[in-house]
Amino acid sequence: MNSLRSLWNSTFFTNESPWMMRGVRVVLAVQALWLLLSRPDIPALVTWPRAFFSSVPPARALRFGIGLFPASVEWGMFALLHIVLLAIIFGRFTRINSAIAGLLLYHFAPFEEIIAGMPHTFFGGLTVPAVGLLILSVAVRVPREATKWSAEYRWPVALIQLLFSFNYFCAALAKFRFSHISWFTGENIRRWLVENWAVTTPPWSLRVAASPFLCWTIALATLFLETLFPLCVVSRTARRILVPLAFLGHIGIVYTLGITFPSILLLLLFVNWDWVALRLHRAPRGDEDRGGPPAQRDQELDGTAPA
Amino acid sequence: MTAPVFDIPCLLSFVAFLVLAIRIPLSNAPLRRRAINLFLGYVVAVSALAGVAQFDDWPFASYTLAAFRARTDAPSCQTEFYGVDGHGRQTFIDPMAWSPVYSSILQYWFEQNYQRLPHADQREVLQFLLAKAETWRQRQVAGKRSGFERYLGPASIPYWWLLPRATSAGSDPFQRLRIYHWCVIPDDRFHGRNSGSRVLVAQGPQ
Repeated sequence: MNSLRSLWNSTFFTNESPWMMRGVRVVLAVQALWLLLSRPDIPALVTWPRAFFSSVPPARALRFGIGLFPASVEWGMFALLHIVLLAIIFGRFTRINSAIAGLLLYHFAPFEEIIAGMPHTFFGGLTVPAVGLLILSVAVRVPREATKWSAEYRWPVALIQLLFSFNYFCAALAKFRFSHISWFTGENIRRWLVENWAVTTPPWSLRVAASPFLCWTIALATLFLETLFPLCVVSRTARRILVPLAFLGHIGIVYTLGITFPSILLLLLFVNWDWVALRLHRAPRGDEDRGGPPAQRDQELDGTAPA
Repeated sequence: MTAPVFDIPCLLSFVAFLVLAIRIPLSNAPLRRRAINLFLGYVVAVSALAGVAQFDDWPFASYTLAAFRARTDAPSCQTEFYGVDGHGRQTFIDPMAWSPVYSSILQYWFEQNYQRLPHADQREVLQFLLAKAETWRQRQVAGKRSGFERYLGPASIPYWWLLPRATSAGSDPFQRLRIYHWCVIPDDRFHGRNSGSRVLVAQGPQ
């Protein structure tokens, strides 16, 4: 029990740089804005004939507020969403704008797939931004001049990183649940390559499928990456290995399976934004700003951010 | 996919997330840590439950994708949409044409629902899709981008499944749609035995 408490505290309540909060906030907002600019017709769904919604349960429409507003209101909310995301990126009224953005993303993200039962909405690229921006909306405000580290900055960053890591970890759980360990075999990878090639003809499918070594490498790398990815939240070493591996994996999957990862930008959640700020000479150097000795790290949170 | 009976509980789980979140800024110093711990515990527990139980409580997601063992000896099927002009020439319609819905989602909807609709609704659906297909054709002929690529072009984030794209569109307007069910057995295609079979399942509007 004590070790669990220790893990919990070291994950969520050690001191963190204000630059991590800023970096995570901007990454989430840029991801959401990029995706919305890539889906410019989302509100138009409410003008589709009623027949398309014949299989949408009324409770699901209510759950996401779909069909409650006329098209003009939907377009207005969609425009507002772009504006608040831009404001978040530029650090303006970040908490209230994050709350508005999170709620509007919760409303709009299911539009893409609602008529088919939302089979892959979690994979659409707005899941982590929707929840993450709502988390940031209740976190402590980061003053513009803040440089001191605080546990107030840690728990929102760690929680958002953990939620993103579930993209991988839960995908591994799904594979174990439905296919057991045999999913992670060279033969299964070869079959996935051939099956997808038959429909979408990705350029590298057959070359990779012809190599048992590559198929087994992909299978074992997938097992390694997906099961261990949550370690990125707590381990710098894990971040340095698994984040680049995930990036390369996603690029490879485009060319072998014809599947993209719309959330690939969110790998930047694991960048050390404090280090980046230091390199850009915008954060002060010196250990006195870095949270003090370990004894002070598991501190009481009072909701105020250090200057 | 979540069964309809779970939509209200799922909504309540999201409302609980919001309520626990709002308690954090409203709690003063002695109670703040407890409010944060409760919120963290709830989010981690609901997300972990979604993953372990493989129950999608979006935005607390199960992330169930490509979790099954692939079959190369069973048919892989697609629903394909073609526009037909006044000369009877048919053109494959790009997956982007149906924006904001991607082709694979429209295909799924079509396979599950179209045949069950009353005739009037089927006609309305085909008329609507024909209008969208024709809009795509006109933009394509004019050299304009469509759908997800309208603003950002190749820099846009595509839908996760990269279906084959349409490379060209004719200059004559579409008069109707033809919708085919196409199936292929991957092993057969891989060994060059068969490139699939195509069955016309709908055309119109009549």
